[in-house]
Amino acid sequence: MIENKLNEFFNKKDEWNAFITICKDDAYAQAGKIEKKKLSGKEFPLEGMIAGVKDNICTKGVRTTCGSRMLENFVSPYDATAVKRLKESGAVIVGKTNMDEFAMGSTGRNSFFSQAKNPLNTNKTPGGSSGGSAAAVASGLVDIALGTDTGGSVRQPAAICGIVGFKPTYGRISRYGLIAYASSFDTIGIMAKTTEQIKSVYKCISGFDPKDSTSSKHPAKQKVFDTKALKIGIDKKLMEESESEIRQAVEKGIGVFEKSGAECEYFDFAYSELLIPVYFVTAYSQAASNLSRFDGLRYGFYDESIKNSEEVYIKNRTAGFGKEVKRRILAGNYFLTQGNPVSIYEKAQKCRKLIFSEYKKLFEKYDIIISPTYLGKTEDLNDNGAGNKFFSKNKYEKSLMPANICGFPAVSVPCGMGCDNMPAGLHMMSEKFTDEFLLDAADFYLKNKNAEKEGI
Amino acid sequence: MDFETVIGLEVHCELSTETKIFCSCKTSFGEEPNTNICPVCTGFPGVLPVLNKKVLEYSIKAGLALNCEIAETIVFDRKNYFYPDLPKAYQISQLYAPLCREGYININTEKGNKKIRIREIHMEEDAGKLIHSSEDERTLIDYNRAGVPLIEIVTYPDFSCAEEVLDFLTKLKAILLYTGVSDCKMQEGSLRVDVNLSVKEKNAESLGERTETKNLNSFKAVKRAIEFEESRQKNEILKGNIISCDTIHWDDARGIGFVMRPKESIEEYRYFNDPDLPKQLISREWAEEIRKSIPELPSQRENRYINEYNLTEYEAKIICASKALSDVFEKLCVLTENPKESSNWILGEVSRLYSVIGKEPEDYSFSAEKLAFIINKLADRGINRNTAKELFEKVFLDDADPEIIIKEEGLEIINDDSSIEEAVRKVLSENEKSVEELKAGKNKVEKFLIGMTMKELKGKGDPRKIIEIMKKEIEKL
Amino acid sequence: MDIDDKTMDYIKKLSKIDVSEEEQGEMVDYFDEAQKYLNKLKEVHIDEMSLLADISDDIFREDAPEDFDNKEALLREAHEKYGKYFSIPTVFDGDMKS
Repeated sequence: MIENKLNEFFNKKDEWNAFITICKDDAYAQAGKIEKKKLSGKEFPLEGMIAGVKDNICTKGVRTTCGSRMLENFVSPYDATAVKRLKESGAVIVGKTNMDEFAMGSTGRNSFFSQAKNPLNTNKTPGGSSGGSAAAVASGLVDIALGTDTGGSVRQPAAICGIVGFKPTYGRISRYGLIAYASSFDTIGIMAKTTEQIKSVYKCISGFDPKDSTSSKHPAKQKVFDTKALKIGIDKKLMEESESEIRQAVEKGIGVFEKSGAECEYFDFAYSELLIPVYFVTAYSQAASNLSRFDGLRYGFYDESIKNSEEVYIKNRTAGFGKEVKRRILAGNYFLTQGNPVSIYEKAQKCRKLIFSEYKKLFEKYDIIISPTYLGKTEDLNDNGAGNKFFSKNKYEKSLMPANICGFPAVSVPCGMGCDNMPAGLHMMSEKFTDEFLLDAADFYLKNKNAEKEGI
Repeated sequence: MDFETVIGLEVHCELSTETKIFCSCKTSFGEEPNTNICPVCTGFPGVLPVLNKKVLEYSIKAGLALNCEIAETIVFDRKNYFYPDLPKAYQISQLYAPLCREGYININTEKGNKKIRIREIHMEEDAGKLIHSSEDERTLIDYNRAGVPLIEIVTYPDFSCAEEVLDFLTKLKAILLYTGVSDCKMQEGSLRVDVNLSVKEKNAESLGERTETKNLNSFKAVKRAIEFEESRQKNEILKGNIISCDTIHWDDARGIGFVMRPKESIEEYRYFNDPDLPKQLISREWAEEIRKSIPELPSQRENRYINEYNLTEYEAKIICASKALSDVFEKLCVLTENPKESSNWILGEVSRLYSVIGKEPEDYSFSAEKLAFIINKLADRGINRNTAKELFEKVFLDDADPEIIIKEEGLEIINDDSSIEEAVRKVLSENEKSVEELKAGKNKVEKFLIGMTMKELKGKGDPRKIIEIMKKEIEKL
Repeated sequence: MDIDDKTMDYIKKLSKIDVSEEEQGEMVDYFDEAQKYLNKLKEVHIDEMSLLADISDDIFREDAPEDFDNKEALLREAHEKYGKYFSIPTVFDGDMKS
């Protein structure tokens, strides 16, 4: 049965540049292994599922490029824990999905390989940095895809492509094998069309991993989802700062909860201004350090014109990295060295704690915090972003940042039409370790959102 | 101009755990290149560090043995720099909150006791090894050593000369050996010393600029490097030059230090808390358990030897400098019940033979039981001292069995009355003239007769018995 | 805030990255814009005692050796090899530390 599905997949054309590498032989081999084990009675919870894996997650024996020239021909010697668990659960990985280089970007423009396209409108971006994963799911090529979310990179493309994108509590899915961008923020996320699929995958790949010191042993918080007892907080500023069509779509979405008995109220987040600088100072500084290992000596791009040791580092790194990556590394090293008496990086860490304590107070009042996922319009492919230089695009991503900065679980669900006939995403965030509760909420929403239309 | 030297040390000590600090690769020395490696210690993409609990345990143990306070939490930092032996291009170390602080070791100087204060001890990972191949114009990289656990012991600049440094290092090495946290084999690189040295005019208010001589791997090199740098700085100052804060590479073969490069500023390393290693609490109960597990340390052992075994301070100090040696001494004391004699043997023949073979007691052992046998035999006057020494050399070098050799070569001292009486009578009968002289009062002749008796007994006679029986026989005459 | 050439050179050296003149010009603009956001960080006064400590518990590994099962793959990925060694054109000891 899985073989038919694989045959179907490998016969399709990837019109959206969703994939960088297709793993045909591995996929059939994996399917064969599963069939064999089934004969001896083994059961596989994800049987029959075909999956894409974002190309910054290591897959043993398969090219893992991070969307970069630096790792264009890098074959990982080991499997990421999430990949291992995915395989052990019976899912078959059919390819490595396209992405912005080293997860830095939100349009797919920063991929060394190709520009991914939005299956809903191929003149538009699929978002990023997990644009390829989003496109692979939205186009129906795969059932589910793993992405990574450091500043919204699973939720934003999910919203833009009209699918569900889930980022769990930081530490719930092992980071071992996830090629690091910002170690404190990076999370593997799951993208699919339904919450059931996400729940099944999450159950199989989450949980403590002794190979990852930041993976959590903390048990899941038992919380029952009941709309009648639900208290929802809506971030006022984020609603106001959105495009009007998007705001309206989200308001309608909130209405679904309200009609079922939830208490909804607007709030003002005190430290809204700090989100963007805390995000980029922390992320870029950690990235500068994480990406220092890429020098060509043990793996990766090697500039043939190198003549002596002086040139090794500079030439390999200058040619191997794309523009945005270089920019963020330079910025990160700047943040780590400037500032008196403490570096800007240290200050940002203190601000992180401040932001966390504010959200802690909000979660004493609210079970779920809602906002639009992405506040702006989906960009055209040929929009070179002249009007959105450097940090100004971050303003559309403010909704996404708190979940990374504080480690909260968050999910984006499609909530109707946004601008230019592109979907809008409704973003929900809850307290740490309430992942199952949040997915129940997402599930409820998706089952009831159309009921409204039908007058139920 | 009268000069004063100010020295501080940074000592890197490899811990003798089975596995590396952040991954499960073996730490064994002398393996084929790039065989004790995995994606974690070679800095492959996507890997993460996980702390080896034994490293923490050993580091706390070392800190407590050196009188330090142990921190409340474990915090690791990244020290960022590029070098081919550093796979992640950052070293995981501890800057902001080192594991141990404010310890000390008491050393002996000409002016009496001096306390050398230890500012901190922190955990970090070792780098790989570079091998320069000049014919091929390449540098080869072996990552077996990358990730091996180190503790770095940093002193305050409390030293004023090479002798003090050497005394400190001797004591430090002994303490680390006694706690069992490291094998301290300098020739294998498990103990390396960086010397920070500055010279200033006596009574000058401020310290001079210091230089750092790195990776000295023998006590001899430490001494020579200190003396060289002291002298170099003095000469520079006399010439009117300014000392710059440089790193010095010491070439022990040529006995010269080369100024390498200016020392990096701390800012260049861009230290920040490693986000891959969350902060953890160190349980006070566990630290207390570790403290209790620290065996008797050299200074405590020295005191015990002085009090229990009546050794002198000097004797106790020499014996206790090596744990292996003092363990042998204790065994001898038990088996011979003669600490003085045991101590003489340790300080005498045992030390001599170690020096002959050029090894340390930690690296080469011999049978204490067999030496005890020899000492006891000597005490019973079953053999004489020369025989004892010869026998021991064979035990030490070849692990020979002294009991067998004594039997086979007939080395046993003859001390039974009948054999000696026989010999004495023979000698007396063959030397009537001497006997007459002795009777006439020439007492010196007795020595001659005794000597002849010993000769008769082929040198194996028990001297005291000979004298005793000689006297008796002469009286009879 | 003006980020001067000296600082740019310093950061490039720390990053071991070279940029074209055009890119360098862009970086200067980039830092200018960043400054507006950084000022927000600088303005915040934080009462440190009120901040939560983020302490974790018992994250250790036992001291038991485990052999990595795919060592050949580690050397295989390197462009420059020499027998069992990784390799780099000759380093003059100490020269390269940035």
